Amino acid sequence: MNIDKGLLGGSTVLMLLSLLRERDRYGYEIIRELELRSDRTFQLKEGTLYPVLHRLENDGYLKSYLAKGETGKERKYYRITAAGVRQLAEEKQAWTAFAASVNRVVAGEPNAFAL
Amino acid sequence: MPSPCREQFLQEVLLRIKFRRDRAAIRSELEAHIADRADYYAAQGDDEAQAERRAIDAMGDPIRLGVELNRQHSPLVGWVWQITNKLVGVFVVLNALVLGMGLSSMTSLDNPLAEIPVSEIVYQVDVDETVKLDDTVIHFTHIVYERNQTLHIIYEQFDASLRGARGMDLVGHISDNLGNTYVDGTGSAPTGWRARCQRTVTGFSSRAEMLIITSAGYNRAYQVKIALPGGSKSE
Repeated sequence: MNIDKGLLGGSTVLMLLSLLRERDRYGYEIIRELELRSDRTFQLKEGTLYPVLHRLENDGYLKSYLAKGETGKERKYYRITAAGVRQLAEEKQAWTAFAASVNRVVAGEPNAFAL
Repeated sequence: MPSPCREQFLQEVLLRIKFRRDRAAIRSELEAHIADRADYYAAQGDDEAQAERRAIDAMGDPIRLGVELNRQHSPLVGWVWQITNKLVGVFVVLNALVLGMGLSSMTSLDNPLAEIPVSEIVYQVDVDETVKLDDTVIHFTHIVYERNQTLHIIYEQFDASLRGARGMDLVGHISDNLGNTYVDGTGSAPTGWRARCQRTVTGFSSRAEMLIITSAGYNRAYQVKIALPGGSKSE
């Protein structure tokens, strides 16, 4: 199953922050990891990752630095900040609530989405 | 040497970045990505030209990418950022002058320990732990814990290639034996082939008996465990 919706969905930030919470990564590593973990569900145009990363850096959720990877080539790594960790917790919470609501609708439960 | 195709893609993106000072950084980041992706396709069996073409195609529309990147690199944000950085520098210098630190500030730069008032120190641990990241050698020398739960990790950074360290804080994630992780704090890493650096963590547990410094980057993984006298002297 391919979901081609670019990196604009609401879950993008959640996924990026989660991957960077594990360890510092550079753009291509993030794309590869998304590919591998989602079994290529997210067929996105790879360039669209960078405006999102740069926005998260502008927002103070990420910090970037240059370092050499395993091949000895310099890469721009991203590291999650304290504000990023807090944002991740909020995004996770929102996602869990959203997924639970969708599941209730799919399961045919009345009052789904009602507060 | 980038292929004409790659160069054309990069130019299409960069043309849309109005804040010219950011163009070089964007260029090298995108170019590295295309190179990595092309290597991947080549390893899958594509010939060089095909791997390059697929890698560029995978990036998507360069014009749209340029427009979206430009939103994050507007000249206004860029200049505010640069001016703020300069002002912070001026502020630090002024502070040093106002406090009459003059010469002593220069020595404290070389010795971060001198900046910590002795009366505030709960404990100090002398350490001799060395790790290597690429060409950079990190030598942890002291751990100092203050009454206000601030932990200072003091280390030296050498550049084994003698080209000069990048002035980058290479200390990884900080945690303790109690399972706490610490992300709040500051770091300083002057440039030079041998630099005295400091990472400061706030809200560090006084009960922690082990400090764990982990870096899990690509080929840059290390873990250092340092025993602390926490618990016995906790307040």
